[in-house]
Amino acid sequence: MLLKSSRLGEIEIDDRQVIDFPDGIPGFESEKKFAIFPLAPDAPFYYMHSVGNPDLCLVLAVPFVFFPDYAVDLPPEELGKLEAGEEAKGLAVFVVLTIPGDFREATANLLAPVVVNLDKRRGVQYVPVQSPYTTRHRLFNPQEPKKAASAGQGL
Amino acid sequence: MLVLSRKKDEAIVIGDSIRITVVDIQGDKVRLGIEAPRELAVYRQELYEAIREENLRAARAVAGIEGLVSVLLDADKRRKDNEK
Repeated sequence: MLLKSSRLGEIEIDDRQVIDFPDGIPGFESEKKFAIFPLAPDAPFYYMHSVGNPDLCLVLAVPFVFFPDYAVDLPPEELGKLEAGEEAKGLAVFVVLTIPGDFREATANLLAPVVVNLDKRRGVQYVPVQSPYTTRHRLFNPQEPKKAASAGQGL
Repeated sequence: MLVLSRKKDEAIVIGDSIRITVVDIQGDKVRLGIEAPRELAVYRQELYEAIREENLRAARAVAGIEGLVSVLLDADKRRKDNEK
């Protein structure tokens, strides 16, 4: 299908990348369809672009690349929404990024992961009742820019 | 808004499928037991609000994407050049 995007222009999207979100997502409850496709080849980042709203584009990351200990425990009702079995096979987990002007300051929302059943093409943003995570975890090591800055001072 | 007083172990029933029981009261903290059909989502309001706020922020704050994309494409190009 042809996706209209104010950011990316008109782009052709494989129908398999179009995911139904029956409940929308918090803040965008009326948006029921999103295309999820990679930002760049072989990178752990994806666009999550509304099919109906050319202006609505989020960026997702594969959390396990950046947070190796990250775990999501989906209750049966969420698995039901995803039409997934109890063994939760074929589910992809993403986290929504908030990217300020400098992308190195990007944060990831580990509290509410986006979970997609790739076979059924259904997705949810899971809102837990309780969680050890918050909506803002630094994606990149905050030490690195500081090191680079102090190294620069020595020159 | 309907306001009701309930004691510990008392419940309210909403419609024919939702029951909320006061499980425990400790000072200013009330523990509630919620029985509802599985298709009905139950959220803690402050968590839902925080997630809503962050999604709205994420949708607005996309300035850095260009930077991220160009770094990723550079890395991809370098890798392909190395393979040559």
